Amino acid sequence: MTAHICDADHVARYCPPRCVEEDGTPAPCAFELKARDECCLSVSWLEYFGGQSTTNNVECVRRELRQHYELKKNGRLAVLNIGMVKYRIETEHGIALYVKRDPQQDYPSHACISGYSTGDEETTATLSEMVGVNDVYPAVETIS
Amino acid sequence: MGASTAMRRDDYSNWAGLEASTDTLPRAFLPDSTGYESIPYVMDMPGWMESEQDTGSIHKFDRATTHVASFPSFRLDVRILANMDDEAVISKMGEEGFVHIANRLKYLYDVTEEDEEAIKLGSLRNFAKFIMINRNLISPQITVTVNGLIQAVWRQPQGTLVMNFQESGDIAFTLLFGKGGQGTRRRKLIGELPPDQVMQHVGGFMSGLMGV
Repeated sequence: MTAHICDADHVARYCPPRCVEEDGTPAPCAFELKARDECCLSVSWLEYFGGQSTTNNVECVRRELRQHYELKKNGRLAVLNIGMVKYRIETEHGIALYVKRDPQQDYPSHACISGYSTGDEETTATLSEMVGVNDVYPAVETIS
Repeated sequence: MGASTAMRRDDYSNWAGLEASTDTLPRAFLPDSTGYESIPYVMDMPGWMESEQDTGSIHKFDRATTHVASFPSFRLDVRILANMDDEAVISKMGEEGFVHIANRLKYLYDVTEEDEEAIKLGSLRNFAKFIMINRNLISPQITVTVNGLIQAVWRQPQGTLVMNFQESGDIAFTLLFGKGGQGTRRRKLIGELPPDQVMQHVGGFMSGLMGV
């Protein structure tokens, strides 16, 4: 089952440590498509979890992602608003992105950002610009 | 002014190639040993106007000497990077005063996972060469692409510049002008060129990235 996701909703992108800049925000390379991605940038749909806050939903994303690979403590989860992503990329670069659900086994919140291709640096650079320090969460929650 | 007439380029051509600029500030040109023929490294050294005596030695001009001394290997031939492995390249960057960048590169190697594409040595060498030749630039944000290339990002109010250092020596660059989120089409410059040609195209933006 695939379906487009409401523009008011949010997605989280896991950014491995070597794609995270020194202030904790994602570099453009965090949004690059690999050839094997088949034009789908994997993200997690936050509102799938129905939590009361972004923080709650992000914790759910962590639990889900940990089932599939090891999240690194210097990695980050970058949160983006779907409507803003589509608006900015369309307005600034004339590229129509779309975000759709793509649930997988043990990964029901999985979604895809599609509409751009490998080597599209203008899109990845803009996506990187859109994530501020308040939009990133540690990939691994530290217990204080 | 007398200072500008006291210096002759041929007195120093065997060292760094100094000449007096029209505004009496000397400019030091690195000898072109890198292939970057069209873009010499240029550094203005203020405050040398006092001396008018042509002694044939840079040491006569105290302030100029002090300025030059801030670069440990002013005559560094970046071609030596071509035969260095990654550890040696990073170590060399540290020796040349780029300690922060060297530490960042070490970190990136440390956090690279086995299932990620290894950092390409050619990309690292070309990045190091670029930084050493353009040593007046402020440090960029440095990360690694999915293909293992060094990615450098400079963010300024006047725009965002992304450079991916290819193994071939070319730089794939994307320059987004201005600030995003304004609701208008973004002016941009995108290409893949040899470093000296990249600098010709993004030089205006880069001039705002020069450190003190």
